[in-house]
Amino acid sequence: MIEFKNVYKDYGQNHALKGISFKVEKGEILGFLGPNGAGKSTALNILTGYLSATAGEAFVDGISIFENPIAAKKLIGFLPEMPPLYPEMKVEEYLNFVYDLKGCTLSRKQHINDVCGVVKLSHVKNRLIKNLSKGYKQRVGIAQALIGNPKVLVFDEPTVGLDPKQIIEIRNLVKELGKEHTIILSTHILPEVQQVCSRVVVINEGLIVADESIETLTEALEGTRRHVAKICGPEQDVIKLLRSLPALKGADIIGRQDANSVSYLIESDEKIDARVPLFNALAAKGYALIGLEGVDMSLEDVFVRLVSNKEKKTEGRRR
Amino acid sequence: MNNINNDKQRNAVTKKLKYGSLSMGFAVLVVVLCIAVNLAASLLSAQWSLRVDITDDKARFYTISDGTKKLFEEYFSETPDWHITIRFLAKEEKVSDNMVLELARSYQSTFDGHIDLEFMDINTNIDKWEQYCELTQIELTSYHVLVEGKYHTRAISFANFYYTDSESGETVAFAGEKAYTAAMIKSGIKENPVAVFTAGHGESLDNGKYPLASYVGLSSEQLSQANKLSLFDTLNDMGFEVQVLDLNESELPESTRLVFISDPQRDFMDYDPDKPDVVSELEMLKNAMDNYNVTLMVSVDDETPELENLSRYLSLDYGLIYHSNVSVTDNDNSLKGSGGKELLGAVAAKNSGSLGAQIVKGFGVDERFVFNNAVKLSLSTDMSVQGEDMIVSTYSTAEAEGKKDVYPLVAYTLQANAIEDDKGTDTENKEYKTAYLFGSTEFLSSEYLNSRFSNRALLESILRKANTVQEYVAINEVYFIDEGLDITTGEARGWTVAVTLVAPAAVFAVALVVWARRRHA
Amino acid sequence: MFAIYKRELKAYFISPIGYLFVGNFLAVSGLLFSICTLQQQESSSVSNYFRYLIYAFAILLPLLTMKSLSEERKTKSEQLLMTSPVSISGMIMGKYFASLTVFTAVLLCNSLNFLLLEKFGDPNGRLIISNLICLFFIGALFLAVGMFFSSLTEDPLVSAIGSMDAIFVMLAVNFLSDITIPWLKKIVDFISVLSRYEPFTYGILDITSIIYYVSIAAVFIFFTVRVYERRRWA
Repeated sequence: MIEFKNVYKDYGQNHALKGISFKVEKGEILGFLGPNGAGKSTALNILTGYLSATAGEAFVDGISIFENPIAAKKLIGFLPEMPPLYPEMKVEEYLNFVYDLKGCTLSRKQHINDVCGVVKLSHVKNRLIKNLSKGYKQRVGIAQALIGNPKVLVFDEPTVGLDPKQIIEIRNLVKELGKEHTIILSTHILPEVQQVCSRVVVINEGLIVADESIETLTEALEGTRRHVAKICGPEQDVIKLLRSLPALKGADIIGRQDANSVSYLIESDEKIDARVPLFNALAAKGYALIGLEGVDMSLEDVFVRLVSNKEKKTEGRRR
Repeated sequence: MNNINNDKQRNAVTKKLKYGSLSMGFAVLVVVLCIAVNLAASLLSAQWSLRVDITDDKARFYTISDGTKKLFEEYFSETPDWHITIRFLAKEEKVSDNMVLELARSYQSTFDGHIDLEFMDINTNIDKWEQYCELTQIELTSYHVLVEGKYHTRAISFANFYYTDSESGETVAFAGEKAYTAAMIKSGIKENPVAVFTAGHGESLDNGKYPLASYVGLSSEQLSQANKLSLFDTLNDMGFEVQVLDLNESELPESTRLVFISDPQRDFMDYDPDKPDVVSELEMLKNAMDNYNVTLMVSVDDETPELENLSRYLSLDYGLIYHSNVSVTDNDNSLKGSGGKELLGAVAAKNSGSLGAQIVKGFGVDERFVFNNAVKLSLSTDMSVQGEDMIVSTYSTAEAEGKKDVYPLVAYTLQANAIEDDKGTDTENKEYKTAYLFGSTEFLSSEYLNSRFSNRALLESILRKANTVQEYVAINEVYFIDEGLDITTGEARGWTVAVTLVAPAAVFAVALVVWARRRHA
Repeated sequence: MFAIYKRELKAYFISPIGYLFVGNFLAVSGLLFSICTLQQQESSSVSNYFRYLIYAFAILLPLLTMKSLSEERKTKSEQLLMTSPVSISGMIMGKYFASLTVFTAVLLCNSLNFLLLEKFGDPNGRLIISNLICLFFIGALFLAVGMFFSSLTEDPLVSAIGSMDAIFVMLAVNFLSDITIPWLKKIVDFISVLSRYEPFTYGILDITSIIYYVSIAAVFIFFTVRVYERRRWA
């Protein structure tokens, strides 16, 4: 349904995309994952025709966005990072405009009502967009993308800046839409991808670093519990001790954060609570554990893990 | 990896062709194209006319009015051999003024068989040229056109077909029909009525600008060429012979119908018991008034001195009085920047059925007249003077001697004398004599006669009444760009506010309503 | 394109800018009209009014176009337009024609003032019409200049001032026409907006002038499209 073929984008000397290629099959909800500044928005803007690529090709349903932009754009509903709203318009006026803009042929009133129903906007149809809350504005943005019932929906960071309740609503909505549309959902939040998507493409510094099913991702994330421990004591001795503990899978020095303690990142198997053995071992040596907190995996960690998992697998296969 | 790089380069090249560095070339191409289109248009316009004239001047300038048509139809029915020749003093293709020629053609086609058009090259017909010069008393050039009728041949210079703005000197209007029709009428009449301007008392036109003494003895044609004064032109157009005479040196001709005393500075001679043999100026005037059916017109302003004899004659015989050195001003109904001196007047004839009422019959109540340096006039209450009235008065906002009132600006008196002949007093037929007093010497100035105000129309109406011999048609000159407004300072102020404030205010009110309705949505 | 045209037109009148433009246009032109005609009474000159109005356009018309593109760029709502099945030229034309429509409507509305001339005098209606036709094309040109400047910046104020300056330069070129160097004078007359206007003051519709105005407007619109294209391909 969607295909990126070796797409490059340069902003002067700055290379935003360094040749990305991936495909999205019909009916998939693709998580487009990457940290801020990785090139997610650039890629999506190219796909939707807002920007053009320096080189490469992108297709929507087999239609090249560069060769035949009008036809390709007809197939896409796009919610950019910042919803493209006209604050001085009323919701209904705005949706009517989008309806005209996209040259829809569906029954106007019916269709707009349907869309409003889907994104739960019906009761604010006659309000000015500028008077709506952020969550509602986001929904108007989604409604806009849904007008014309396009085959492909592209959502760029749809949950940024929303409160937790709104985030959940939007995620559910995307999931629901996924039943009938092919969706690309860009985000930098891991759990979002896990909850909503069926596949994930990870982009970092303009390069695709992973293209995996959601199971692979979950697998990579599972099985490890991570803590940061603040311990008083000589650095080399402490790290030696930590690495020798059977309950821990690994330990690293993060750095000295105050005068008398050093922080360590420790990993343990998910099924084992390593905290008691850790405390006991430190206490036995007379080192004081003055802080211990659990941490989530960073996106970088996930990339590393995904990449390393992949390498392991291929190595395994080779063997 | 190599492969990918190649791909990238290849794609980059195609994109560049489309949108990259060559886009600059593309832009330049469009600019060049634009210049080329414009150059081509300029070149084409030199070949074919790419200009559409939407002013429809042909119809405006060359249509003969119904007035002329009606008058000429009457002539045709009375004298079937009525015939006019319009003669240009150059070959047809050499006639320098296309409008004058075009209008002549229009006359020819409109009155087919009665009006002919001929061309005579004066360079090859010297004898004829001398003949015509003799006939018209004018040094003719190819810039003249001759109108030859049954009795007279009239020469009109091309310049006389146009009106010029006295201030800017720009040509403002084409008065071709006026010039032609008047010349045709006059050339078909044996004896034309005479309008005499007196000279010898410091009289002048246009408030001292044109001293009449310098025009004494000139022929009507020469006068109309001399300074192109609209008053002379109008009189000419209305069929009068204009003469400027010093009454001390020459007598009033019998055909005098109009005597103008314009802005006199020194008094007129009246009967002097010491010189019983000499017929004084005023006696001559009185005699003409009583016997020749003459209309007297006197114009004075707030600087005209107290002239004992003339004032006495006007007030005793006609009840018309001017108050020397008493100015009338009006701050509301006046032209901007004149300090109330250039004031406006309105129609004021009171008695319906009177001569004044007849004169202003066609005038609306909103018709306005303009005066400058007006002097206070009044009408005597002496019962022996009858038929006195004002035609034009100020608005009630006018002020003289610190008092606001309606003051007369143009007044007249119509006196009827029963004719006494051999059979005694004839009560059936009466001789009439009429005198008009204008409270401003500039009322009849070229500037005001050519203005948007109704000064000229009033003059023409008065002249029509004064000239009982001949009917005249009122023909309007056609202005090229006629933009003058007949609007008072007060009205201008009001409409300025309306135009600049009311409409925008309405728009902002709508904005407010829209905002109020949408603000809480 | 029609959808964008419709929305732009509507946007002018659900936001203050349309009313500000119409109100100010009527006020300024009304004032000029009064000064040149009503207040002049006898020496009223409607051609002076038209001439001054062209200068007033330099300030008034950028108000209409200053937000057209810059505002959308600032709020990113242009993303909707550029990702919808409408070409960039369609988008810009839609906006341009919307501004042109408002301008034309106001110009016509404003022409009601001429009824006053009819009331107090005897105006030459055809001359007024030929002047109005020319003013329409000059306005169309200035709006195209305004569109171009609106595409260059995100700030409506910068866009407005930029286009005012550009229009002033286009008008000021006319003052060079007094120069005595013949070939330079020819060039100045060729490019001067005002010297092209001259025939219309006599009631003559000069097709070459109209071609000139339309072609220059088209060049500015073309450049506006180029700005967008270049930004996409940057």
